[in-house]
Amino acid sequence: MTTKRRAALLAASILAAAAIFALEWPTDAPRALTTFGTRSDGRFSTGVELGSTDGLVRTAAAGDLAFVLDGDRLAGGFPSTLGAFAVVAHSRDLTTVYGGLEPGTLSSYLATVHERDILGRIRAPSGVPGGAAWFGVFDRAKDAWVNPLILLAPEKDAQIPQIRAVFLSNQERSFRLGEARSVRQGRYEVLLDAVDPAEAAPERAPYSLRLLVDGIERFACRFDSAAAPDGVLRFNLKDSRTGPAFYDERGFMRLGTLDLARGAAFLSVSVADFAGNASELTYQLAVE
Amino acid sequence: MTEEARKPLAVVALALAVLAYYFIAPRRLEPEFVLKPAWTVRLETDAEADAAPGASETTLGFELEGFHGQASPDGRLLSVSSKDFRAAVRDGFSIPYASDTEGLVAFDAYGAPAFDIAAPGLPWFSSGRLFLAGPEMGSVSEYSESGVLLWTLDLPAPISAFAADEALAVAGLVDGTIVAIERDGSIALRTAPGGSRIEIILGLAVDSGRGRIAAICGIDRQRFVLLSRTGGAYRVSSHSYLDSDFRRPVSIRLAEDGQHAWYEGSDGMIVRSLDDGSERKLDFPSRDFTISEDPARGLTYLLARGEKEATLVVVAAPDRVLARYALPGAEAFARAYGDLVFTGSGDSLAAFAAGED
Repeated sequence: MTTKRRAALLAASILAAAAIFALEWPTDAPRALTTFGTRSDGRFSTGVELGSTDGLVRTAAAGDLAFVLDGDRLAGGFPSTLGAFAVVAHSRDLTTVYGGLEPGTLSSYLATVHERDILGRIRAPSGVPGGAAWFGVFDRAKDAWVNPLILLAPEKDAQIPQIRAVFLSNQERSFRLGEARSVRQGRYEVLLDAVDPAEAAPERAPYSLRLLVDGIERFACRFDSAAAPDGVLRFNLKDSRTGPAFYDERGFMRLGTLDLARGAAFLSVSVADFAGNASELTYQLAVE
Repeated sequence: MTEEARKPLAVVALALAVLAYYFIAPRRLEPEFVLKPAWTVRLETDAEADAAPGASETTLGFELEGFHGQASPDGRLLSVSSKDFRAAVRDGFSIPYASDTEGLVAFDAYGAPAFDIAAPGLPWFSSGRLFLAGPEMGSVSEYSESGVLLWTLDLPAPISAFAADEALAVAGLVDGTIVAIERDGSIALRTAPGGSRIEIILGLAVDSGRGRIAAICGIDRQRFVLLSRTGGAYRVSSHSYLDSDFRRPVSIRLAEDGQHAWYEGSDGMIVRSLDDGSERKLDFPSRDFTISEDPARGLTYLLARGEKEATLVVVAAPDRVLARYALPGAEAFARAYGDLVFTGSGDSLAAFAAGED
């Protein structure tokens, strides 16, 4: 199967799963502090961070409690970067993962769990008042992480995503579009600084991105899922740009390279969040 | 002969029988196994090292509840530091870390910075190799002794078990997959043992020299699975269903003799023969255990860590329990080194010589 076909099938199956399998928010604050795809520890996150007012983490759906790490190390001492965490296996090959929990608070006696059963308490604090739980959804059949927002009840979100800056960058210098009206012809990397802010969560990644150059789509992606079939995690299997190097060291998104020839160039960047709020900016450049 | 006349004869016969038993039946009592103290060191927060930097010698790394550092085999403290959270330790290096550490610094045996690692993740040493658990338990990397990245691998699902020896690293995932990784970072094996209603890997052990990977996996029902390399590929060479229903990390080890596997059972330690699959249960704690072997004496030191204390059990191969000791503190360790067993618990380090009383 070609990579494109596999990616298309994966996206279709995830959307199908979303239609038939809904999850409850694991905490009492139904808002993601970080979104699927947000830069975290140098790479994009495959889950979401959730705040809470009561500090409790609950199961998102009924299932089997498959794994509980009620400490910070696996057997043999391998450290857990999710802290204490729990894994619940659900029907239809979905697995939910709950991390960032306080060691010693996890349920050790449960085998099957119902929706909204308490799994443990959030480890506090980690920069977020009251702490934050990490929540991920894994599709066992597809071997892929799924954006939890697809399966959770919609969050209230009226804020539009922000395009903070777009840069054209080469080995010599970086041009911020809007400030720079002209560039020399040549090859440039397009860098995007965009976020989907929400209350108390200013650095969330948008859900979808698109770059048009002279009306032609040069980059497009949605943070639907992520998979690592060949040892490299990508959120779009058909596009190698969406791998570990997607974010640069400043947290800007790398949208690929452009060869700009003399004349006028029109760059249009659009971003949208999962609720459908969108923003778009178009830049006109003189290429000399 | 009257009844009265028989009585003295019966008494004499009984006395003769007792005398005969006393001289003929008794056997020599087996000597009792003991661990004789060789040295003890009490650790303190402001303890000073005994050795000046620059000396070149064998060091033994240690991590206890409040300390990490290095000691010499003769009981000198080469370096000691208090720790806030954890430390990854091997002989010659210590890397303290916290759960939200940004950047790691490795310290040498004398407490001097040796190298640093800027990448996010948490460190772990095994068989002298340095691994880094990546963010969200979704990747693993290996670094050289000088802190140079050797390889990194993204895994398709979160890691639930991990083991490594000198030549092979093995990751078990929450989706029931086992991924074996060669020294160069290439994937040697990717397989899912299956056979249970819910697939998950709970514990792993590896013996690359004999081409073996052992796993405790699955729920409903749980299985022991042994993968063996034959003809260049790993295949399931034996398996058995277990009566356990663990839903948490499970300790499992392959013995150095190549003939046994040790793993946590539902109510004791299981010693399994890899030749015929027979199992024997030993009645002592087996949760979160480590083993260290002294092949010269045929001794195995098993240390199981509980919430408040640890249990050290000395076993003669394959499964004869010689002695059992309670050690205070959850962060205890025991390892054979030469003719000594090097232990630590609470705020003390000690070495013992195995002997008989």
